[in-house]
Amino acid sequence: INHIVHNGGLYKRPFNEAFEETPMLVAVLTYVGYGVLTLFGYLRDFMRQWKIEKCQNATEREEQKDFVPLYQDFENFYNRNLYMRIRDSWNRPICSVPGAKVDMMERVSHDYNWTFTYTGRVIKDIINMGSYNYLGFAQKTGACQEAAAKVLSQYGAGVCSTRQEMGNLDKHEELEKLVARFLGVESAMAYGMGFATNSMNIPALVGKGCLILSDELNHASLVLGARLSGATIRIFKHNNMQSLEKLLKDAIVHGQPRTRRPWKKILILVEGIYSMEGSIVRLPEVIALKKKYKSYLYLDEAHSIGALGPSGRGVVDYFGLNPEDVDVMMGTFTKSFGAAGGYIGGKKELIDYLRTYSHSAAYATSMSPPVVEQIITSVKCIMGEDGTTIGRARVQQLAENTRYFRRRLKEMGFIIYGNEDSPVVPLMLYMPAKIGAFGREMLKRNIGVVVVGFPATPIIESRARFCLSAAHTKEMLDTALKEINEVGDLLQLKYSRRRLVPLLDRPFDETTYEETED
Amino acid sequence: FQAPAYHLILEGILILWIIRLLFSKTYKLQERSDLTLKEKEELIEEWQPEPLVPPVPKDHPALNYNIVSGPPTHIITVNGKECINFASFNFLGLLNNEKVKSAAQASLKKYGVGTCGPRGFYGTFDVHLELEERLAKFMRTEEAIIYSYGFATIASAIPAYSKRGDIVFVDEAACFAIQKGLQASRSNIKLFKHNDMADLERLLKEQETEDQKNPRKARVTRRFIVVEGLYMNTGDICPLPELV
Repeated sequence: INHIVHNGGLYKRPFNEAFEETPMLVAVLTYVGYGVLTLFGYLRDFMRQWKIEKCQNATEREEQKDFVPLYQDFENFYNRNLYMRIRDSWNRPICSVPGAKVDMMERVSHDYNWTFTYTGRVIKDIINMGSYNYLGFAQKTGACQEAAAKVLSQYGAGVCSTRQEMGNLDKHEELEKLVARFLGVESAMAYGMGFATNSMNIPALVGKGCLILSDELNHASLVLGARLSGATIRIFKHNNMQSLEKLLKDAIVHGQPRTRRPWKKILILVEGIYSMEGSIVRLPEVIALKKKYKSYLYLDEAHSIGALGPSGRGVVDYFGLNPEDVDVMMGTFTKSFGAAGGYIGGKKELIDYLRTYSHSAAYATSMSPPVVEQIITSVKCIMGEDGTTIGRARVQQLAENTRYFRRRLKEMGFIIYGNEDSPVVPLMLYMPAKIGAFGREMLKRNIGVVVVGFPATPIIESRARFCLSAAHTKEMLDTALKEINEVGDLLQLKYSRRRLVPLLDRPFDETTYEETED
Repeated sequence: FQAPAYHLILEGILILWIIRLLFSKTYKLQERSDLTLKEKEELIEEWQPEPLVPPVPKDHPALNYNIVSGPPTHIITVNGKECINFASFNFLGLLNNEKVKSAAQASLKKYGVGTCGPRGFYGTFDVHLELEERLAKFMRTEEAIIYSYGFATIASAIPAYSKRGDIVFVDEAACFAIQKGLQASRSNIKLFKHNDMADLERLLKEQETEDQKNPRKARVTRRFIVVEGLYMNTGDICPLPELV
């Protein structure tokens, strides 16, 4: 399904999103593959139970043998029999800065991935297409790192106290003012961990008697925050505005489920870029709906802040909308800024309320000073306030890389999900054996990729996900594309039934954001 | 066909009944209020939500934070005044240690500041693995795992093991992070009085009698006891020998 939308003037630029359907033969073969794996899983379990084969997963000690087992046998079936076979594609240890190229520690397994041993050798210069390094701020030299080193020697490495007690440094105040200015909102507040920002602040905003409408494919942190808050949760189909409008109408007209009392408030939870699909939220339509039905919008820009928009200010900037329309703008510093932590921005009353009632401000330690300094320097760099044009150049480079990479992959014939402009590129693999094979083949060719399967994605839609970075040069992308082409032919991954005509390379200039090529 | 008359009449009636059912309107089990479109729009117009956050009074004690300038060690500069710090959790005084700072500087030069990814996707560094090995040796256990946020450690560990239907015996004065972990796990929670082993024993004995009544259920419910070493809320230490 290909949407090119110019919805009555709401969108200033064409919105190109595509989720090609799974070919029927591939779906059938994937199910057959999983069926065979399940049968073999039962066989191995049977052999393990009758001691024909050695059981290597975690078991209780002898003294605790008659306790109820910690891991239910059936729940762990997937883990033991399917995940263990391809476990070496994940948790790969690296030993250098996670920039465009990394060094990886080599590890081998002599017992089919149950245990790993490190040979001690280091594989150097692997092209890194897995780290969330969108603007290339993961560096070990440069202005950000020097500023962080200075603050480290001055303030120390930690704070050892919560925000409401002795943990509020002057650096934190400076950071929050800067983030508020960057986003274009009245004020902002920063927290130590991105995941915890969601799971600890949504319960402070909504409670029993409120309604949360969350997208199908929301991140685990949003789901956990919604669950912990105690509000009623209703789910609308991914990025589907008709489904959202129907839910809003039903909710206001019929009220709470059994008592029919009116809802206290309605909160819509969406993300800027969905990390597994690569799709961008239809923000103009969501804001129009929000205004019509008087609900509140919580936008999680974990991946989109810094990565979208002509000046890197996220999905609001990308659509050219007013940041004051979004009630709660949340984001993380881990991805584009090369640090750690999260923030929430909005009106002053909202942030004052969160300063007093947020769980994180009251119970959790505040951010450590060198990390704060890294964020301050990188935000100033993106805004251009440090006197150079590095920030703007990086944002431009990321947009160029995104468009080039996506177009070339589509020309080769792979099925790529998601929006044309999102730097997260999922490439569909579907079959379980290809998940492991793709990861290993790419590593042999010195390219590090991320593969994801069940349970992060639906069971037949396993994929490989590339995260582009402004630090990737065109040569690196070309090398990667050549290798992906080779592996695609080797593993027969070119499922797409639509072929794009290869275009001559047009130079990218100021008109990049004014029109789209097709 | 030779069929008796009543048979034919009965079949005829059945066929007519089926035709009637096929053409009659569907029967809704629960009459949802069939409001007209205009009434629905009026309801949507009239509904007023609460404000997103209630206003916070300006003199709320937690609103205006104390600003600390300079390093937060045992001497701390709060709001411009120099004070002796009795408020931070700096038990071993390592915040100001030169060895710690120089090691951090070295790692900053080698790895940069952030990890740019979760542990599963190129976010595992050799230093993470080394730290986990050293922690396991230090605590004399088989293995260890590290988290990036202190609050999240226990709040994620509890729901990883204890699911709906399991039983957790918790001390009353458990800290907020443990409470959030228990809430996320959806298990049955039984509180016992703070540091009171007799109360815990009573609860465990009650559980045992419950088990004997329903042995099938008891074979699949896991039981956990959650205590803190040094309680954040009261400052006591748990009686570990008796617990074990």
